[in-house]
Amino acid sequence: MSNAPAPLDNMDLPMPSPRQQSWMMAKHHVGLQIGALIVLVFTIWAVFAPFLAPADPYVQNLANRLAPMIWQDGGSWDHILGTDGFGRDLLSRLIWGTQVTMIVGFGAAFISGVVGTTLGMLGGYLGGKIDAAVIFLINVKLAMPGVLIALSLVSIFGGSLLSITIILSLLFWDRFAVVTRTATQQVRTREYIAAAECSGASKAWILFREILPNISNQIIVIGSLEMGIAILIEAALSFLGLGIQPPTPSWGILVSEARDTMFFKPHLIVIPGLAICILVIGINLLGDGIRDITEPQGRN
Amino acid sequence: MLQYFVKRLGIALLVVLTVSVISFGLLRLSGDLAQNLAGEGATPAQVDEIRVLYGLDRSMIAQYFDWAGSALKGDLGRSLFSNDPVFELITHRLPVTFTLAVSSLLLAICVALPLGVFAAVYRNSWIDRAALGLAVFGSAVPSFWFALVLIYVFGVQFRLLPISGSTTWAHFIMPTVTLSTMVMPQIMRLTRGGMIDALDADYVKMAWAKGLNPMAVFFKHALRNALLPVVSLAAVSLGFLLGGSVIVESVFSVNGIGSLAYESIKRADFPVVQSILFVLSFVYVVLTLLSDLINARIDPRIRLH
Repeated sequence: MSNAPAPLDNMDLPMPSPRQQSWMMAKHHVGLQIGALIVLVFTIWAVFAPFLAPADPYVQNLANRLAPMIWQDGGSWDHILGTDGFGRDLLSRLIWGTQVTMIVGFGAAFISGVVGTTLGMLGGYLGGKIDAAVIFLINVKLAMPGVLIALSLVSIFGGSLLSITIILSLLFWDRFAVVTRTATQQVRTREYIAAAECSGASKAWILFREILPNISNQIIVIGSLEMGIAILIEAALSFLGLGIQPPTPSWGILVSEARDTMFFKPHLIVIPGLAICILVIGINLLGDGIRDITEPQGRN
Repeated sequence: MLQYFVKRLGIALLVVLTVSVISFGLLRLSGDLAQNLAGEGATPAQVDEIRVLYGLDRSMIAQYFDWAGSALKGDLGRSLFSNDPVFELITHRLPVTFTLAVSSLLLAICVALPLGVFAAVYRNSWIDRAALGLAVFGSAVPSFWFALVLIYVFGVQFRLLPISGSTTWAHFIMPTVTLSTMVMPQIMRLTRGGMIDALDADYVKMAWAKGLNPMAVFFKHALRNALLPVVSLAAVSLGFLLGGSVIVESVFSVNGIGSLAYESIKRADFPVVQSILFVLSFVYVVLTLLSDLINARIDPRIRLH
């Protein structure tokens, strides 16, 4: 028996596990890779800002205002992206601003995700009066002009990192609720839910151990979408002066501070704006990519 | 149809009522209104006098009904800042914002609808990829920044367009373009998705099998069904644009309701803010109600649910 030939076909090989399949698909998913790279770079900026920033983002140097970028005439390695109207190093402010952006964006998406998913799952699974109440709450939320509400709340509660994050999470829970409610309604009719109910599982067990894992795909996609929108709104609020307060380097504040000098120093506006744009695109690509590779229907 | 209409109307009224309670609560959250009205150097006695004069010493519930009662008669109170009637301030500014929002929506539809249809018909072609790329970029670009870039390019470098104000139609071009990017990607994606679903549907295969010409299949059979969700989205988008124009209006100094809200928030003129929130939600509810009725009219399946 020791000389028996090895099997020529791979019929007996086990099917790759779902995780292996996802990994194989990720290797060919360009959008996912670009998104992951962008998010990774900005996350590193945010986490290691104190070590990466070449200068203190708050130190003003009025003798060296509006210094040019490195590749422009008179640029120097001291200030790679030049300095702003107060002589502060733009690159350092940009890197520190990543921290503000990521905290607010992730925090708002996370809190609104928890709130919206809870409401959506409760409405979708329990139905009846509770579902009607959830739908009503969603309708009320949709009828309120979000940006104006956020502006008024910031003017009341102030522009700290915590209050902005909480105010923004009040704005974005509705899409989580709408999507998870529909997804829960679809999952609820499956056999494994009936099996869990028959075996006497509690409602909480069914919601969190049976339904939640099966709708997590949709939650990730909405989460990435909302994180992108939260970042855009935070920047807009800070730009309007009713968000994060100067001198904290939020990307929206960088743009608003450079407005006075934009006609002769446009790069001070272009660079932070592009940073916002690239990060949001990266987050959206990453979210879409994760959905593509984890979706059971997408596998072979 | 009538039953459906009555049910929707009832819910809409309830939503408006809830929103009015919330926007009223927001005003009370903002601190002691009597102190605001009296000003910085007022003595406690003067503040108390104003509190009684404006009825602020009564219970919150009594005050709410007082406010709601006069709001029903079209009296939204007076601005703390200019003492003008809030109703007049709003009706004076609303047409500007309405023009801006409607023209932005029209522009978005004019670009997004054909793009979505072409992207769906020529799936995975370069048109599809370009449309998706545009949608990705459009939903990631900060509108205030896009507005500044437009000002720099078309207002300053080429000197083609006026950069602030709202006096002539030329003043509306850049604000309209900026605002339309906020809704264009969504409309494009929804049209594309709806078209793809419709093109795969049996009734479209049937239309092909009958030997209809491609134009009739695309426009009469597929697009008609793909448009249903787009009608709802357009109504929602218009409501969103009315409230979301605050950013664009402040960058371009457009004298609309958004900049009125922004200025009023900054100077804590909460009777104005509260009324704007209420009016905008009211408009939104009316718009969604209308779109539901239009959809129920087009699609009998909705009525029966």
